[in-house]
Amino acid sequence: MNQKELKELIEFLIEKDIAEFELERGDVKVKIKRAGEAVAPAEVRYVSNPVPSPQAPVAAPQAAMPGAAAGPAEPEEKLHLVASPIVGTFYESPSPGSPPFVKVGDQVTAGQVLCIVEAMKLMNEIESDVSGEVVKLMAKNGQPIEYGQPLFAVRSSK
Amino acid sequence: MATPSLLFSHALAPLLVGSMFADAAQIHHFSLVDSTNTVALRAAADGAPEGSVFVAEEQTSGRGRGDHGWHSEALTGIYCSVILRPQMPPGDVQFFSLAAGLAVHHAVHQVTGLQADLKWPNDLLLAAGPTEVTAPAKKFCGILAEMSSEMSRVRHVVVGFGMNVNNQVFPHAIAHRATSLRLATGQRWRRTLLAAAVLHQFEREYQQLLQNTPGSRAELIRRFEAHSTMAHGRRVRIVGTASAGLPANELTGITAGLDERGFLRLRTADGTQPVLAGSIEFLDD
Repeated sequence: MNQKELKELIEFLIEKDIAEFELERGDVKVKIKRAGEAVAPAEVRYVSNPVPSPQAPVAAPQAAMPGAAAGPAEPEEKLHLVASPIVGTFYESPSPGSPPFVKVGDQVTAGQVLCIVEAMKLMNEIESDVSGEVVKLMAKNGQPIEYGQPLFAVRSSK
Repeated sequence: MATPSLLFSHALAPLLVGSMFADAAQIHHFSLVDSTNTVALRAAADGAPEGSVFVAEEQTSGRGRGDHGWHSEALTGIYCSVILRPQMPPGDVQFFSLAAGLAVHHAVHQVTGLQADLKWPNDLLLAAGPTEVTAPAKKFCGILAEMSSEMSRVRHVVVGFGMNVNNQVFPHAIAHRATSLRLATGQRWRRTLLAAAVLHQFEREYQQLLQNTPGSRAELIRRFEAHSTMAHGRRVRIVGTASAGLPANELTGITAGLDERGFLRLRTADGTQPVLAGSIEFLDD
């Protein structure tokens, strides 16, 4: 996961007011805890263009401040991000015109195919590595995808 | 009249001695399947070993990119998929796409003497017939690779080959762009020999890629370009794809070789950009 994706992830967590988050896929481990109101939320944009983003500071507050969260009364939750292991083109469905593998609100099980990322006629079926509810689609059909780019956010049901 | 040489495992295995595909118990022969890739993917998920081969005399739902099918007439073509379990990052597996195309190029040359033209990433084209050398080339072989991976580890890869060998006619809908080795040469070819040659050549490419050095990839790309007349200077339209930086559904430009990752470079009005995937139409035929 690169600087830009980490920044996007943090922005997403801020937008959804998620206090604690863990991602573990292969070599990539990300753990973020944030306090309620420390960071001004930036606009969340998922650009397909691999233009290097300015080296924005990405350090999220490390020490959680218990009870400091202002605003929504939603309990803190853990969201799982499913990321792409390859550079390629994102497809939401098995073939053009067929229904998408999943949509927001769907319950998925670990190992279920969520999408395809294609690089030069190598089709990579991306599976969910947790069971739970798909809460966000983070890529558009036909969009170019970078290595490690988050594709889906899944609210783990365990 | 020669009897068709069926692709039975006991016919193929002796031709594969010394290769990773030689185990007759792991060569699975079908008279009829939906798609050898589908069967191979299912077997791979159930733990079938690397080097397993799935070969069919006929497919009812041969698959290509997206919603493309593969016309799979009984007893005339080669419909063959293999399971690989390479220990490399998932992002490096795309080189197999190029390697598989090159393998078919070399195998067909070895068996028939024909020089097939590679169309990025791995279609294989031939002049339509011995008397039609000036006509646009038509496709006789397609390859589809499918992968299951974790973030940094490949679980398995299935590479499927669909090759028109002894076809004499094609359905009207594809007749203008499909050909076979028989149509191109005027003679029948033994499918067992061709299938074995493809697997031997593919293993050679595979072993080189497993070394996973920048040198072996650069060499692969150089060889691909040497056997692909469209890699440079052809005006093409790329349909149903994204290129890095432009999620357009269609892109027109001049081909400018392959980049170091094997992506096709396309010179467009907006500059040169790598094409990640897509179907290619020639605009200068």
